[in-house]
Amino acid sequence: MQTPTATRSSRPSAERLGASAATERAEAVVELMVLHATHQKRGIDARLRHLPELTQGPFAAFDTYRLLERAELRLRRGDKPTHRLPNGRVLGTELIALEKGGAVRLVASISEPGGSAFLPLLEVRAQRGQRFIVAGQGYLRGILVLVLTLMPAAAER
Amino acid sequence: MTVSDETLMLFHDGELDAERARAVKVGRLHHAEVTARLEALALLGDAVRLWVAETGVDTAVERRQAARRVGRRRALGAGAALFAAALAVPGAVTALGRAGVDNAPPDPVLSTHGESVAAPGPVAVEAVDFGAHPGAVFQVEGAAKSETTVVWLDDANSDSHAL
Repeated sequence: MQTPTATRSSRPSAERLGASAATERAEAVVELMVLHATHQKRGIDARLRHLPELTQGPFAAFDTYRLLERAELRLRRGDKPTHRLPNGRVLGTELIALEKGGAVRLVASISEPGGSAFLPLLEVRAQRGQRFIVAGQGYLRGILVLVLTLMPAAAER
Repeated sequence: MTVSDETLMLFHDGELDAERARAVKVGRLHHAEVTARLEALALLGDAVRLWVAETGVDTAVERRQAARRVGRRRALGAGAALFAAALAVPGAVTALGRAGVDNAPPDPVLSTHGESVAAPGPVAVEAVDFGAHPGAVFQVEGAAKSETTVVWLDDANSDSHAL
């Protein structure tokens, strides 16, 4: 599992404040699952059986889903954690706001290795426990399917 | 050979003028990249048609509801156009730049404690910019009959080829 890295923070770094990033409380946690969809006729990875979406709509066009990696993106306002994807692109995330009622507003983007934007902007509002999917990037005779789940508050320790 | 997404989409839909269609046919014969992109368009179209057939998104009301969920940045983006063609009614698809997507959940409602709580619904896409690639926003059925928001990117120009 690849560890997400925080970049371009507008806050003083945790190290300068004498606290490690690991002990810093996240305001929201997004679980990222990176799937590889292909036509290899190998079925759906047993670890993905809880995702009925993979048999729906355009996802049903692929018969094979493999879990490539799972990672946690720990979000705090002012931080912009990133995660390098298997195709070399970089997924960026940013917590924008915590709204009344528990909704979380966050921004995601995907950048090319050279820094240019592939998906310049995706802003969503989600409740904890909800997930959304970003799919379609080409990868090794298939596509990448990114499943992003806003974790329950208990994950923000 | 450089062929734009728009040209390929029009070719795929049989709407390209004869002269440019001949050029694409020649390109398909001599450039594997053109063939791969056309195959990607065809597969994406098949997938959408399958989805429409499975979900029965066919009545005017359902089509309007689905269309509201579809966003596209460019008027003739290949993938978005296919989704839009499958889902949208004329004039119902919102063209996006850095713009909001009309799939936001209903206004918050008050809980029994007087606090504002979000009404149940899928993740709302507040804004999306697909950049140079066509894309679409839609929803599929998730666990427990809930709806899961999907942001689909057409990456047919990728070196690794999307499909």
